[in-house]
Parts: sequence; C-alpha cells; structure tokens
Amino acid sequence: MCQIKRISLSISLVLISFYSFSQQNYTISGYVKDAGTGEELLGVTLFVEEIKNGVVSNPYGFYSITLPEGEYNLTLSFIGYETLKKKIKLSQNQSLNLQLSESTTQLQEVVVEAEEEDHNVKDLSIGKSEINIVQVKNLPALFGEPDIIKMVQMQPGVLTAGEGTSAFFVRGGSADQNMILLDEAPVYDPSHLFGLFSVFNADVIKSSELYRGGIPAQYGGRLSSLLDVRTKDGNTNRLSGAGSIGTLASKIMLEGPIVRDKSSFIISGRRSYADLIAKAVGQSIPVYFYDLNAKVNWKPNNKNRFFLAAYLGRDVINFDDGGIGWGNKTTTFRWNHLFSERLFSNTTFAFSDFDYKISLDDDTQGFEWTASMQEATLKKDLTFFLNPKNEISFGASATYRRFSPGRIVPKGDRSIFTTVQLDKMYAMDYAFYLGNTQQITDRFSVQYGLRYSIFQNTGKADVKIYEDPTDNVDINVLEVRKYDRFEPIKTFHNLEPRFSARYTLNDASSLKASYQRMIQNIHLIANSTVPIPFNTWAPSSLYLDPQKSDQISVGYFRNFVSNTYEFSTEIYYKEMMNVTDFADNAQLFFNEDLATEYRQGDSDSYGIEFNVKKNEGRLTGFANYTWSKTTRVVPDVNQGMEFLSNFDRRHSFNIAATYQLSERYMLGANFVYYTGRPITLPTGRYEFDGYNVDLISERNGYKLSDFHRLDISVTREGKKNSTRKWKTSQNLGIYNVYNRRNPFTIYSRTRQNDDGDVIGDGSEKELRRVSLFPILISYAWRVRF
Amino acid sequence: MTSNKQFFYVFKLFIFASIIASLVTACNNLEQTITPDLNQASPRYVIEGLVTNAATTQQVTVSRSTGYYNSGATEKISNASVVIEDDAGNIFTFEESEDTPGRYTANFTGEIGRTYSLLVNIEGELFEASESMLPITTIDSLTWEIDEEERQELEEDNDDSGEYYDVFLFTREPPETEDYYLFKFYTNGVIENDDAQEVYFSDDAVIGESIDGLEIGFFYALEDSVTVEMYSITRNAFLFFSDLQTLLNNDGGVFGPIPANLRNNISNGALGYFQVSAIDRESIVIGK
Repeated sequence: MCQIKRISLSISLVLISFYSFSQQNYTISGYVKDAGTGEELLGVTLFVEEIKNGVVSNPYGFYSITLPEGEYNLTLSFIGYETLKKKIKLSQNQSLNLQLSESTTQLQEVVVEAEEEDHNVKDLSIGKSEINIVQVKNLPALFGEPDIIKMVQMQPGVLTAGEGTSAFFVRGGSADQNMILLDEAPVYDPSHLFGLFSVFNADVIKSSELYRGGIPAQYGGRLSSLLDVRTKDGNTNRLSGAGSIGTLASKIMLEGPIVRDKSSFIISGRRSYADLIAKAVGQSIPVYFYDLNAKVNWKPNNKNRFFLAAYLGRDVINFDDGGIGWGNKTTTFRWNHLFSERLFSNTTFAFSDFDYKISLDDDTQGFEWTASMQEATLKKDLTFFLNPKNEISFGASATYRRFSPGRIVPKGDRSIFTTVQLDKMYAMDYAFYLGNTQQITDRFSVQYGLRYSIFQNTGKADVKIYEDPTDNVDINVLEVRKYDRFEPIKTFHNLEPRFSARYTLNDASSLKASYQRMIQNIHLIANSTVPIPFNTWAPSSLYLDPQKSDQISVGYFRNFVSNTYEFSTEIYYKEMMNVTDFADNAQLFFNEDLATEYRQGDSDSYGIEFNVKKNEGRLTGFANYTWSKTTRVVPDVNQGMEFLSNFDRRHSFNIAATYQLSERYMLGANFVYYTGRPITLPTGRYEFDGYNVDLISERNGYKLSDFHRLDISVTREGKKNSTRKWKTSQNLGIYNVYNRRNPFTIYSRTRQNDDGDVIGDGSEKELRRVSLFPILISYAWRVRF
Repeated sequence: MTSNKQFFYVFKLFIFASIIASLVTACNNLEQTITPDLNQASPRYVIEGLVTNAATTQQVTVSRSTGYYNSGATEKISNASVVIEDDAGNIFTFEESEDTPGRYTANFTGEIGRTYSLLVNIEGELFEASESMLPITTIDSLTWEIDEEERQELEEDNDDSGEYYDVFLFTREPPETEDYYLFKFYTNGVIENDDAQEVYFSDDAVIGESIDGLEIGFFYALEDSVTVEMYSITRNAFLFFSDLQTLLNNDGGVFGPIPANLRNNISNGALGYFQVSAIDRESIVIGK
C-alpha cells in the first residue's frame, strides 16, 4: 500500500508540473562542445540570467530549455573552460550548438574576475564527486600511471583495502556494491595486475563521476555507488593523439575525424612491459596486461547520433607449465535521438563479458579451468525538457545474464582430472523508472523518482532443494527441480524510491538532503576483503535474496571567495539488508553446493564527510576528512555477533593538490591518512597431529596500524615551439616519499628465519606484517599531437 | 627563466636518485615480525583421536590450547576418562600412558564399515564425537624416475644432495562413490609436510577414475625409502583438513578468506578432531 501511495505521489507531482505549462513558449536546444576537439561536454551549466535559473547539459552534451518569447542572456560555465556569455532572441524554436574554449587563464597572475561556477551550491547533486581527469594526470601516481580509480579511492566517504588495490568501499559498502560503468556497460573487475592499476586508461576518459548517494532513478543494480566513466568520442576537427612511455606501461591514443563534423573515431592501446624488461635482463616477471579502447561515432544530423564503443582488456600470467588469464570485454552501441527539441532519447545496447582461465600442463595434473559471465542490456532513456522548472526522465531496460561459475577440463591423456561443469545460472532483469527534476521555488528544488525492478532467476537449471540450505557439512538434497530455458525459478519485484532536495540559503550556500533505496540482485562470491579475478558472481535465487539498502544523507554546501573554494559536509546513515556474506571457512571455488555457503546479514554504516575543493587558479585540488563506522551481523559468522565490517576505517583524510609553478612546471602532491583496517588475529594456539594451529576468537577484533603516505610529482612541459606539431611533457613522481612501511596485512606462521627455515621445535608462532610499497620513483614521457 | 633551469637540474638529480632508490628498494625488507598485544583467549580443550584399521593400538590425546605467544609443548590433560564405543556395542576403555601424560590408548583394530563414538570426560565436562570408517582404495604401485630438469638445476646450484628423483603413484579412484582422502608422505620414516605447514587431502569431485602416475611432489635421493599412506576420511574430516590447510596458509584475509576456527566433529566446543580412517600404505626404495 505504502508503495502505491508513493507512486501516486510522484505521478501527481508530475501532473502538477504539467499544469504550470504555458503556451507561448519556445525551446532552445542543442549540444555543447569543446571548441578545440569537438568533444561534447557534459555537465555544462547553462544559466539564464533573466529567470535566474538554468539547465545542465546531459551525459551526451545535450541541453534543452523552454522559455517564453523574449531576449535572454545565457551564461555557459564549465570547470577548466572559458565562461561563455551569449545573448539570444527567442521567437521560435531554435537549435543552437555551443562551443566552449579551454581556459588559459589558469596561469595568469591576476585573479580572474569572471564569476566562477557555483554548481557545488546550486546543483541538486549530493554525495557526488567528479573525478577531474586533468588533475589525475598531473598528480603523482603509483608507477607513474594515472589512474582514476586511485582518485576515486581518495574521495570523501570512500575507503580502500590498502594501496595497490583497485577495490573501493563506498559508505560501508563492499567492493561488489559499486556499479562501475564504462560507456554504460558494466565492468565486473576494474583491476589489472590484481589491482595495481585499473582498467581505465586515462588518455581516453572524458569524464568520470562517482555517486555515493543521490543516485537518480535511472540507475540501479548495486547497493552503494555508481562510478560512471565515459570515454571521449574522438576529435571531430583534426587528427590528434597522445602517447606515453612510463615506468611500467606505455600507451598510445589516436583520434580524429572520419568525415569532418559528421563522424570521428578514437582508438587507444596500452600494455605493461615489466615482463619484457625483465626478459631483456635475464629475469622473469611473467605478468603483463594490455587494453584496447575503440570508439566511432556518426552524427548524420542534429537529431540522430550513433556511437559504437568497445573495450578489451586482459591480464596474462605465463608460467613454464601453464598460465592464468582474465579480462573484461565490453561493447556499447548508443543512439541519441531527438524526437523534438524537448524530448531527448538515448537507446543503448551494452554487452559485457568477464572471464578467467587457469591452465596447467602436466602429465598427470594437467587441466584447464574456465569461468565467465556475460550480460547484455538494452535500455531506453528519455528526457522530456518540459519547462525550465521540470525535467522529466523516464525509461526502461532489460538485461539478460549468464553466469558460468566454472568448468574443468583435463589436459593430456593421463590427467587425473575429469571434465566437470558447474551448473550455469541465468537471469533476466527488467527495470522501469520515472523521475522529475523540479524547481519548486527560486530557492527550493527537488529531484524525485521511482524505479521498479524485476529480477528473475530463470532456467535452464537443475535446482537442488536442500533439507537445510545453511548446512554446509552434511549436505542433504531432498529433490532436484528441473527448469526449462527461460522458465522462472524465482522472481523478485522491488520498488526503489529516490529523492533529493536542495534549498539555497543564499548565493553561496545551500542545504541538501537525499534518500535512496537501492537493490542489488547479483552477488559476488568472495569472502576476502579484496576481490580477486577468480571470484564469480551469482544471481538472486531461491537461496539468495536481493540485497537492499536505504540511505539518508543531509549536507551543507558552501562556496567561499566568489566560488573559488567549494566546501561541503554530509552526514549519512545507511542500512543494508541481506548483505551477502559467507559462512566461516566457506568453500567458494568449484563448490557444487555453493548455496549452502551463503549467509546474508545486515550492515549499518554511518558517518560524516567534510570536503573542500579548489578548481581554478594556480593551486587546485581537494582535501577531505571522513569519520565513519560500519558494522555487520551475519548468522554463523563471528558466532552471530556484531563485528566491524572489513571496510571499517574510523578516520580517513586525503589531500590531493597541484600547483602551477611556472608555465612549464607543475607540482603535484597527495597525502593520505587512514585508520588501519580491521583484521582477525589469532588469540591462542594449539597442537594437532604435529601441526601448530591458531585459535581465533573474534572476527576483525584488531586493527592494523594507521596508514599514511605522501607522494609528490613534478610535470615539465616541453619547450613551446610553434614549428612543432607535437607537445611533450615529462612526469617524475615519488611514491611514499618518507618510505613508510604501511601495513597491508598481518598473517600468522610458525616462526622462521630469513631463509624460511623453522626456528626451534616449531612450537613458536609469529605474526608477520606485510607492507607493499617502499619509496618508488616513477617517470613518464608523454607526447600529444 | 632561472627557476626553469634550476628545476631542470633538480629533475636530472631525481632521475639519478631514482636509479639509486630502485637499488635500495631491492634490499628493502617489506615484511617483518611484530608482536601486537593480543587478547588471551580462554584455554580450550583439544582432543585428537585416531582409529584406523591398520593399527592394533588406537590413540586419543587430550591437551589444552595456550596463548598465541607461548612457545613449547602445550599442556597435556591427565586423568580424563576416554571411551570409544562401536556400533556393534563393543566398548573400548582407554588408559593413560604412564610415560606420556595426556595420551590415552586402547588395544583394538578398527573395522571398515563400523561407526565409532568417542566419549571424553574431563572433570565432569563431556565431549563427544562420532565417525565412520569408510573403505579405502588401494595404491596399485609406486614408481621412481630421475627428474632431469631438477638434476640440471641442482648441478647449476652446485647442490650435491642428489635429491632429483620423482616418485609416482598409481591407483584407481572409484567413480561410483563420493570419496575423501588424506595423504601422508614419509621419507626414511620422517613425515614430509613442509615443517607442518602443509596438509595433503583431496576429494574426488574433479578427479577421474585412473590415477596413472601422479607425481607426489617431493624430490628424493638414491636409496631413500619413500612411504605413502592414503587414509579414507569422511566429508567432515575433509572439511576439517581443508580448513586447517587454509588457516595454516592464510594471508590475513586480504585476497584469501578471513581466518576462522576449523570445523570439527567434537561437541561442547572442544578443538581437534576424532578421525576414523582405513589406511592403505605403500613403500618404495629409490634405485631399487
């Protein structure tokens, strides 16, 4: 009942907005582009002075605003670009494509008088961080490879498992609760080399935004966050490119028009080469990764635009007698269509694939083990720019998923292995949503929406019915139910209301609030803190309920010194239900009765975040502090008692800043500090059959010592030379400047000397603290043309 | 601009420093032993029982856990009452050994197909466990062979241990039953388990029928006497040994599972395991 009321409430709100619609209105619409590259710009604020209101260009760079007949002064502003002022006379519907030039004022000594953007205060968005890709490239990076995931990990409310990993934990959520989209296709494992790098090549990324809260109804599927990464479309004006040679990886990117102003392409490749260098000096580091991004677009007219994007990335480890490989493949086809100046539509077909393969060549122990998952999504998103006060979005999506948790095939005639195929799992997923962004008064705006998601675990499947599905020792199968292809096994219906509001206190400050319910129907099968590529996923089913979360957050946003400094603070409380966990000692690999290992529990997270940002001027960057606490209660884990979640760090402090020293030199620095993550340590030991066994009494009862690290970098631009077509730059970075031994983990072993020989009678145990990176120097040479 | 020049100089210095630093890095010790304060867990009883069809004397050991940092043998528990009853109603009463306190023995031979129930009474506290003896397939044969690769490697390292012989195991894994195995390997009577850090066990979920020359994974020298023991174990015992192996090799729960106590078959919170196994044993002398 309650849910029906909520729907009728949103519908009536939309209807109210229709009544306020007036007849003498005209629409001005079009795309906002970068003047230099022709790239569409998303998130550009288009402000109409006369009505003291504006719109923001959508993820495809499109804007539309409907106004009564008259003359208007438009102001377009966007971080890193010159503010554009334009006078228009509106007497009919008008299509107007706008171009912004990259700002060069950054270097001038004088403070720019022009008004800076105030979207921190005026936007409805709460819990959102934009990852500034230019900044990412100028900041120090591990092994000199700019990585947006490492920058995501430094945002307020975001925690990591430690350096050198690509997993991130948002507001108490686990790593699998982040929806990571690359051109709208989900990426299941964002890591290369077990997390040293992410799959995102900074050269091709146009924008990336992280939502920790205030997620619009258009998005769903994960509990905790949305990381929306979009790649460049390709320079429409001229052939250009970039490349770099770094300490660990090199890459090249080429972009340009196919038919000027009609179509363009971008292609980029990256490969790590520690393996090649090692080989050259007679050593062996048999690990490498590569990735390829490619995209073409075709814009036959203003009404229709087509995009085709693909990503392929793979990690490879080669041994003498076998190998391991894993990787993501994604493909996105997108069609932007304007039904009218005010009705924008986007149709996306996205395909994602993740797979891994482990193989061993051996006379008797040879095998090949493969696992994969695929998903194909068709979705339609529509935005109706009703009037300057209402922007209605609605759409639907359908997703087909296939999970292949594992297959072992013997290799060689004498292999002791036999072919075993774990049952594949299938699911269909449908979602419908309707939302509106509405300006209620000059000061008060709201965004509300409702998402209805249907998730169906379907055949073909032989589903085991267990006498006790939580007994992983004595497994007793009562019956096996057979389901045909596409026959529903279990269906879940969920309503996900979303709401956010902003009240402007004055020109420089506002209050914001949001509520969101999120549903997650696919579950990562991992009981480690950091997922590894060999983890598989499973759909909601008879044995796994959808994970649910409710989050409320309230924030105060304030700009200082004419919007030069953006400050915000947010308090959040998040309740997660049916969070997927696993019994102690769960066997997650190649288990035919995996369902008996599932344990779902509840988790609470709350915290306060403070963030200050400076986007313009010689000094740019951000600093933030987060206090948070996350606990879990899961049956059969820690004897059913509450424990601190693996992702609990009480304090977290991050600074990232770049300073333009002179025309050619840019300095960058990062500093991070956080409380050590919880860890389970033994409290006793006992003897069994000659083994010296740890006794564990409490999960996550200890904390690693605090983590802190300073990195610095300097970027040197090549000399300006107008005869040359290319520009070079060099980047030198020092990671972990004061060479701190930051704890990564602690493990227990029988006491040993440095050669690994047991000391004494083997009764003595010791705790070993592992650190990953000492001081590291990196260097990269970059070229743009 | 002079600052540019100075910077370029600093830049070059950095590149030089980076070369030095990478040499330093190579010598950096990124792992060290630490001694954080740990809560002392209240001690728990540990019961280790083994009944086989190969021995005529069966043994149960009762001890107690100790603090993590305490070294030396753990405390053995004397004066416990230890009784095993089989499903034919035979009762075997165990006697504590006079020279090894905490070790209790009884003279009988386990039989395949029987279920054994253990009852331990320690000062009025009762601990129970029950386990069946499952059949065991037989080891058909063991063979040895020179491992050329290993021999060359030892030669390059000037290692004259002569440990470059492989041993292969031949057996048949009955496909019609769900079986679990524990293996023990002995070289000249000494157990091989990487200083008590490895457990060798298997289920048959992904194993085919013919085990045709499985390399057992250690290198031997000429004249070494190699013994392989294969134990039939229950699923319960398999999980216990699997949990043990996971715990012995845990990484603190980063990429691996978070450390947890082993699942076992003893009631009332006692640690340890009551194992009942049929054994097949085979020996070979390298070079013969």
